[in-house]
Amino acid sequence: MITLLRQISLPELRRHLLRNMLTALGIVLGVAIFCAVRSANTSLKLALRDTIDAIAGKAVLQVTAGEAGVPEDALETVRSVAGVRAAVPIIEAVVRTTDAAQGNILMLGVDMAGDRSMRDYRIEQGNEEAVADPLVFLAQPDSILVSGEFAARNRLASDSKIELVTAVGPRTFTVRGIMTAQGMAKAFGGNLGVMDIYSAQFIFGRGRSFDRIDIALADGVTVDQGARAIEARLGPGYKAEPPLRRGKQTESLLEAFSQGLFLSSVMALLVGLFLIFNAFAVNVTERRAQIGILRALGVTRGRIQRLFLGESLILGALGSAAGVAAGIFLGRGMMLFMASIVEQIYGVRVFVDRLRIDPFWTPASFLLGIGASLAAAWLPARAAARVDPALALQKGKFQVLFLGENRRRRAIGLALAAGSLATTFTPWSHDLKVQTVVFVLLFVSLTLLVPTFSHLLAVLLRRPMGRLFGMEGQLAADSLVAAPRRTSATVAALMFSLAFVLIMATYSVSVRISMMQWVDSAINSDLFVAAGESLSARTFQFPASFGDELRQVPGVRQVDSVRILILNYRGTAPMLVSIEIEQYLRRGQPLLEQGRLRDLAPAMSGRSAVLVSNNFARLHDVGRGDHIQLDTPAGRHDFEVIGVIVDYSSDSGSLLIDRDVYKRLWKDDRVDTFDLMIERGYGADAVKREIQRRFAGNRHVFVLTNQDMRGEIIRLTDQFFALQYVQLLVAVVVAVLGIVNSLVVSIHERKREIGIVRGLGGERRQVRKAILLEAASIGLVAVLLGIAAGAILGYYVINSFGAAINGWVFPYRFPTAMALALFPGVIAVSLVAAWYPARLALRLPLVEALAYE
Amino acid sequence: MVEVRNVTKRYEGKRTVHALRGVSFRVEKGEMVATMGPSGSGKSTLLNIIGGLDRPSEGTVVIDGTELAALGDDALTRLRREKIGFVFQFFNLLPTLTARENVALPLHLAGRRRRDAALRASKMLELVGLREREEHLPDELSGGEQQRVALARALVLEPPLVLADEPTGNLDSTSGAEVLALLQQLQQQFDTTVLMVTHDAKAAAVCHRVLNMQDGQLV
Repeated sequence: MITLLRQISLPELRRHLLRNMLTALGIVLGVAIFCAVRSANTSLKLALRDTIDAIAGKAVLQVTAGEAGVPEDALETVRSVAGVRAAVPIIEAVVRTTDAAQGNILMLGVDMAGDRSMRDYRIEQGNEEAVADPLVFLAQPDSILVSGEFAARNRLASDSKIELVTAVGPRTFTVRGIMTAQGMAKAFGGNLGVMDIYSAQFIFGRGRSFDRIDIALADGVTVDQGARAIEARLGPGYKAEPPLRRGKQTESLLEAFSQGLFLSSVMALLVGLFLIFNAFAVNVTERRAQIGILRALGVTRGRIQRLFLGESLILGALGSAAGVAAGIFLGRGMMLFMASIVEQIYGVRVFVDRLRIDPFWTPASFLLGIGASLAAAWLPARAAARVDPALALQKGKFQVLFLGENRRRRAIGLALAAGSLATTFTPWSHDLKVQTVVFVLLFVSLTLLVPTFSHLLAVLLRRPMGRLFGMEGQLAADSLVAAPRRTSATVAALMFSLAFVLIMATYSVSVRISMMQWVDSAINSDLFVAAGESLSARTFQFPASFGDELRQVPGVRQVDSVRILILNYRGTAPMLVSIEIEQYLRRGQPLLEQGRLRDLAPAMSGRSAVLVSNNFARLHDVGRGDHIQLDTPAGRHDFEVIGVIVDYSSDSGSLLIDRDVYKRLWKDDRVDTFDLMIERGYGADAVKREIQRRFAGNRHVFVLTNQDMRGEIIRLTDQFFALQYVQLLVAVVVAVLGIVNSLVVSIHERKREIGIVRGLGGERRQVRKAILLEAASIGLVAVLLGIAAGAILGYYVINSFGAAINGWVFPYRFPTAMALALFPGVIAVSLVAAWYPARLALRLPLVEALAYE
Repeated sequence: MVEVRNVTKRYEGKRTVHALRGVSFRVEKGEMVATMGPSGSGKSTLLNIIGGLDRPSEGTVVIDGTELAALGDDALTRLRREKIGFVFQFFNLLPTLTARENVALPLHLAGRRRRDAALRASKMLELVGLREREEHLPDELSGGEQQRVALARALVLEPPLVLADEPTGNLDSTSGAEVLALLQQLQQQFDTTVLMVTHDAKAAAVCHRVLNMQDGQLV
């Protein structure tokens, strides 16, 4: 076998080096994206865990109460639980300095009196007393410690000043000590600062809460025992869990993000599959005589099949190796991109500066590429094993090895397509596992139907091609019709790439239109005053009293307080929004799917009633009249679902309750955003400027007009779809690759035919024109089928698959402009792609092309 | 009709191969001439050069008063289309076109309308006795039938010159005899000049003249 590979396969692979490289490129792209995404994901997760781990120190449990924070009085309760050796409060916030060059810093607010029992503080420079004696820290509330790396990077020394952006405006702090670069000081990439917790409460707007309590247990008390005891004492609404488990929510966000990019790598690999199948099918046809000779010499069918599979293994291995290398190269950029997106959309900052190669997924990517290559070459290898040696050794004889058209295949394809689409009307339409299988079956069904439909379209094109382009058009059309196997493989590769483009565009258009309709109804305040620099970042909160200050600003008529939390509900992370419900309903009308507008205010004001978003309702199968239980610091509480609204705030769903109820149950009166209505006669921009002027320096405010807010939402939506656009780019690149590769293979396969036509008197320009027209026809057929497949798959994704992921069912809107743009675009690319293969074909010496003795 | 003057063909490589060494001869209009010789004698190479499929290293070829060396690729192609018909040993029919479509192909290349081309192709197939098989693909035809289709294709534009490379080389004796008879009949009907390369003595016997080649030279 090795001898055959060395003497037969390797020379063949070398002989068609360009063609093989193009064929392998689909595998390279698919593996590269897969490897890059997994490595980026791993790097982000590990960076997150490193930070959590470094900061945790000796803490084996951490108590949280969701984003509402842990009330101060819970600290004593925790300390009184048997088995708790030490419990210290923590506030954690990533803030930026006023000097952009210094970057972000993770600030820890600690109670220096007790925190030394939990974390090691080693001061390499500065005032050791500031750490040893907590009163020194308390007495100088502008004191901070910074990590050695941060200090070195920003040339800070003991007693240096640093200005941080805080909830109460820019504040200057004095570096009292520089921590050695180990342990805790290495968290967040070494950009760590420590300050007094009560100062942190003030400057980060935490009110009378901590972010969490870190716990060390007494000897002999297990983590599980400790957690159970603490949760039992505190009640529902609190969670005691090991430090690393806290990061799970963020990790699941990263994972969800990676899933999207995973799809594009699967797409590229699938198109690569078609390219390899096509190339090997041609290869087998070309080498019939060689196969006949080998069989005549005693090589068994099995060995022939293994020979061709061996060649695909070599090609797959080379492609995968190149893909992994490219993936590592792309991984860093992907990692930074993902970190940026997660921060923009979810407000979660992960400091990551180096790519970590995933020890499982990197070799897995390699094997995936090889697996794809072997799968694609399986059928051609089997066909090679079936070559009749007697026929193969007779020159001029032609054995049909592949059938382009097959009734049974067509019937199976139609049945699968009908069955798949029918599931959108069944109870399983929103079950993600079922819909994943259905999606794959839809893909398979369309693959089986491609030969039928591409042949049909080619027949329909025959007459118009002849009429429009004369003999060359006719030759091109005849070639399409007469060679269904060759044509349909190319068409399938292109079709799926274009369908993928259209699915993404459908989703994007449908979401955008629905989003804008929702924004028109939901974003109805004149001004929005936020404590953070973006809508998703909730680093700071306002005290409730700030609302009174805003009411004093000339032109302000109404001030509504909004507090947003991310909850933990049945393993998902829906958003809880609390607002003064009567005022909210007076100024605007939410789009209701269930419930009546006039019932909402009386049912919700001061009462345990909730409006749920449409996707929450779908994801958790709840509706008007149902009851849900939410864990609050005051205990588990029952809420009646009073209605379902259209809302696109969160892909995990959102819940709207009255602010008074929130304050009572969550013991938290802080505010994330104030929604303002202004008096008639006042301009929004003028009031905005007045607010900024009035509070500059003593409060960090981020003021948006209604127009600004809409723009911000569009920007966030665009950020989200930036990911999808990356996938579009991959799909387009692979599609172009598909055309070039398939035409090179196709023209090579037709070398003799082209030689015959030239020998019979076909001029170069005639043959070139016929080849170009054939390429354009393939492009046209692929666009038509791609639009049909994209419409079907897009409808399916919107109504079933997408809904199963995030609960939203957007009204289906076909991206007509994009679809129309595909026609000239793909045909132009097909023509460009065919130019080089056509030149190649016409350069062949006629005698060689005609394959004389 | 055909004049070959001192044609030489060399293939340069690790070793230089002299396929043709100073070959000169004439073929008059309406003649049927056979070229015979052992394998490697240069017969097919000579035919390729006369047909414009290849260029000589030295010497000239004149077809119906036109010197091939003076022609560019397109002009050579047009000459091939208008003045020369080819019959190959292994038929060289396009496997994805029917018999009628294969015969019509030169007409399409010459810009004839589709309907006219189809009618003319059907007539030619009738002449070669294959009208009822005109919708069949090449792999559905026997070797003899395929060669008859190739003959029809070669003559569909009524070229003044037909070049046939081992036209019976891939056929059994019965089929070969039928093809030869047909070739002879068509040659007389269209008053075509035929230059044939063959190993078959029976094929040579129907020709007016035989040229013998050995080691790239006429003997």
